[in-house]
Amino acid sequence: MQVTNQKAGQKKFLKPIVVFSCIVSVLTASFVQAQTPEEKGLRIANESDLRDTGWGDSQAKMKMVLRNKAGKESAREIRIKNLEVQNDGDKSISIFDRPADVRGTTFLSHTHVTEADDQWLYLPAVKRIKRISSANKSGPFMGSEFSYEDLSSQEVGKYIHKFVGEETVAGRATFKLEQTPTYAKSGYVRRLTWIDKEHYYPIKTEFYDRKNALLKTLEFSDYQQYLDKFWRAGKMQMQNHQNGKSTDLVWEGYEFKLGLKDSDFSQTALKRVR
Amino acid sequence: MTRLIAILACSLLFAFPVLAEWNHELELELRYFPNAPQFEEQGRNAAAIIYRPIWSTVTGNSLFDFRGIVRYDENDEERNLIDITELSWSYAYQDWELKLGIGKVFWGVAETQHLVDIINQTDLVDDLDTETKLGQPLISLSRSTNVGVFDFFVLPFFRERTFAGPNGRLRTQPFVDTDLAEFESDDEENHIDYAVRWSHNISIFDVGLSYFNGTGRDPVFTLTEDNAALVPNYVQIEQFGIDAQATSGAWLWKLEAIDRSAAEVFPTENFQAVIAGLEYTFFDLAGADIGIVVEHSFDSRGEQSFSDDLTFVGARLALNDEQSTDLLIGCSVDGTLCSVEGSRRIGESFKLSLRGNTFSNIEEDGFLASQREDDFLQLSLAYFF
Repeated sequence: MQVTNQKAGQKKFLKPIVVFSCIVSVLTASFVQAQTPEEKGLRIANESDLRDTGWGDSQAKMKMVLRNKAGKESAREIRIKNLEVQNDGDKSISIFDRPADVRGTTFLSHTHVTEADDQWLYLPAVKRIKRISSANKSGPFMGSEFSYEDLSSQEVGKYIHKFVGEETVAGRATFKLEQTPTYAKSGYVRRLTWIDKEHYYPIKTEFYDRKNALLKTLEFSDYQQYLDKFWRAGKMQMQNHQNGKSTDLVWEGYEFKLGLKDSDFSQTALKRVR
Repeated sequence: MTRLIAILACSLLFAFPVLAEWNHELELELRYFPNAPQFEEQGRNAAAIIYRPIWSTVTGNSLFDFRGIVRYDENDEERNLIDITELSWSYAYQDWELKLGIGKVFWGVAETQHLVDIINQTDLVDDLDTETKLGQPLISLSRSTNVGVFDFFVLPFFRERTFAGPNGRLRTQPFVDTDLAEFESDDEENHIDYAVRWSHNISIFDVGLSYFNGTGRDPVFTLTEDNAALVPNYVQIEQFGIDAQATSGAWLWKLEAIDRSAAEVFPTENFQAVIAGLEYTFFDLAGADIGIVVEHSFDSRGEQSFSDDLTFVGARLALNDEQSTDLLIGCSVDGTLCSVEGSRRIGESFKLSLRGNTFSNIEEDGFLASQREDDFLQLSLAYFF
């Protein structure tokens, strides 16, 4: 009896501990669960950004093929040099090689995360540098299905990233993020981006217009790793669902760590680069 | 001196033929004047053919550039031209850049007038907008610093402005006889000119300050004794200039101002002039951009100057289509002068351009009186290869 009582007493004593530990474990679990979809989305975007930090500078050749509804093609060729800037947007200089009437035109861009980008255009026939407005985010780039905002430096702070699930896309396990632009004048109310779970690079992006209708789908493929760290898509295919046109971007001749400096991304450099 | 530079640059040009890349532009230009000419020597319409070879190469820190122009006009021999607009070697070392040869330099921000721009002479017969220039022999040294870019120029040879001949449209009455050109300086076109410029970019502002000392690019006109022709006189001037642009959102705010001084015997070359303007663009209206341009100018010469108290309003349309179609239409607010400019790519290698000017309500003894019958529409087709 005494034993039983003792056991009962023990039980009485144990019960609050069990209850307490239950509460603690429930609390802890709910604390882990309490990471909001936005926090998880931001964590994924930050990881993706971190894995692409430290490339320094690069250059590559971009070939664009514009295809209209009837399948008629026209081509653009641009060489681009990039400079990574810590704690701000990157800098780039573009040299237009094709079509022939814009050959030799160069374009300088200093991107920023929160402020408007600084952009200059150099017209070689008249030797004139023009500072241009960067408010044109949503307009088409060179008549293609890529807009200026699609091609500008993709900084984490430019979007609110919300984790909305995990899906398999093109045979790859991905995180699905809903990205809402934080800057003014975007042509999109939101984007959906599928990020590769292993390498944290984008596999696919869907763009939704201001009426929240699906406007375009961008697919990234032919990824290659450079300097044993940085992944770059060799091909980007943009399909416009509303007008039936598409644009393929093919990247060639990627080179990294060329020793490019800030002065290679100045207005003086803009006039000199060939 | 110029010859030496030309020979040096030429030999450099052909020293690296393997690395060189040649590009060419061939353009056919048709000018249609709906009204009969005002003066009997003038032709009716005019066709011209223009060829521009372009060559460029980079070897190490050196950059070699060549741009030429050959123009033949069926009507006006003053529009015939063979010129080298660029033939230069430039060498960059750290924050320094040295350039030798023939070159072209543009300063300024405004669209309807180019007050500050002074290094190159205007090829006025190409276009009245003063944007086409002749090559300028120069030595320039440029230094980039944290507080801006400093450019120093020595300009050892002077180029005379081109003017339409007696047979050409868009000319003065009487015509300008370029063979009679006179110079204030005894060195004539060999007078050595100097220029300095500082330019800097601070956030939304792009600012430039410039100084020029030498033979003014704008001539002062006198009549020949028989009143049959105008004589261009090139005088010695000093010019201070400022140009600035603020770029904020879809707004561009622009300002250019100059202070020019010359000997007192040339009162029209002692003046101040300002042009201020703005441009606002409505982006992505179904993919297209529409920009509104307004510019206003003052000139201390008052009624002696065409551009005193002149307002220009224009609209710029860019379709942002595959053919890069664009159109710019503008008029002076008093309605005397309107202009249109447009272009569209055709296929991969052709470009069709349109230009036009109208002159309305021009007083018989006022500015542009000799051009009041010269409304024109110009179509040109360029082939790039």
